[in-house]
Amino acid sequence: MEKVFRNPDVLWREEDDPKAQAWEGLAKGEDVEDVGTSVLFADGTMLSLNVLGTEIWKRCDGRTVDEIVADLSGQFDVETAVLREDAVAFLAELAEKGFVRYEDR
Amino acid sequence: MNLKELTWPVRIYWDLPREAADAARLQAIAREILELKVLFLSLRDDVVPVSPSCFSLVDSFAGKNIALALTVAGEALSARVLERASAGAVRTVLANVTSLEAMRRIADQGLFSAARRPGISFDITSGNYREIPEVVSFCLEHAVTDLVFPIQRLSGKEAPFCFTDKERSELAPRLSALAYRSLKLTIHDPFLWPLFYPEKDYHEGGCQAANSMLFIAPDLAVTPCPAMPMILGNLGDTSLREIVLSDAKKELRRILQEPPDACSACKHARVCLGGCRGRALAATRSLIERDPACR
Repeated sequence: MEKVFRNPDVLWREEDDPKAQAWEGLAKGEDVEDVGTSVLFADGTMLSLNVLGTEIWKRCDGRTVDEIVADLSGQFDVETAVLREDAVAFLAELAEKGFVRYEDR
Repeated sequence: MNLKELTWPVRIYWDLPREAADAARLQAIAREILELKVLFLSLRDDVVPVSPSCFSLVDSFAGKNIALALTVAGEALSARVLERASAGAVRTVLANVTSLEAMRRIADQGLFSAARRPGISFDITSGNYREIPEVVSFCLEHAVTDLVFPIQRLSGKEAPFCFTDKERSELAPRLSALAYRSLKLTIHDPFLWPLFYPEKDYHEGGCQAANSMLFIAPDLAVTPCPAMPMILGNLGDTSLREIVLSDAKKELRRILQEPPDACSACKHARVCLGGCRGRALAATRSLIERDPACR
């Protein structure tokens, strides 16, 4: 299994108010997919991530995709297989943009 | 994602005091910048030689989650300054110049051959804009990778520089002949951007004054952007946090998110939002006018 690492050159931060808003919305069962809760910058490119993207990003510290998904499955009301599919696609996009890299275990 | 409006700025431009300043006050501001989780800090020191307080500040950002760029006067750049900066937290050192001649003087000192070579910050004025293609060529020839056309510093007393259509028409063919894609270019003027990247939309997505950016002037006045002469507060007596959360800043952002009436018939209005609104304020004293460069 491959481990996923954040690119250390990426500067990022969570946005406190939207983050609180997103978690409140999730607790009420609302759709918060479009609420950005973090911003990432690398080589002049800015990305804004929603709450799920942000939580995946924060776990790119050498964990595998399966470990990330297992950690998040209790926090998001979505089937594990769907969550895994979303996480794989999201990480592939981040890797293509140079925000994360994979490393063999 | 709807993260267009930020509570805290991502980037701060800070032009350091030109006279001896209260070092403790400057350090307190530096701490506050870190507390607000600002990600990019552009420090500019116009003093020759570089002031000792500048390097003290630089040191206070070492090891923190912030990318620091230091711009010094071209005349102040030396091997020692480059060495001192690279020992600290500075990612990029830029020499601020307004002429090719000043760039040649830096080259004559061998500084573009240094292991940690500086970039160029070229202040565009009505007197030097014709040199832009030569500036680009110079950077390519001397392997200068960072070329910044900095935001104009406008106090409201001077006329802002804007390219006319004729001036842009003159520059466009001269620039298109150059292989500048290898340069890391920083362009803040939405009307200069298309000359370099005609195929790409300007990246900012509307005026970012007081949203993703703030400016700290040498007298510690905080304005929304270096080009927007509107004082939100002064760090001599007010905290950065208070200024960022102030009603004045929120009201300004409300205004800047709407395109000026003069743009109502323009198809780009919703994306461009009136171009550089700081330049518009400097030229017209109004926050609801469009960029005078848009003619």
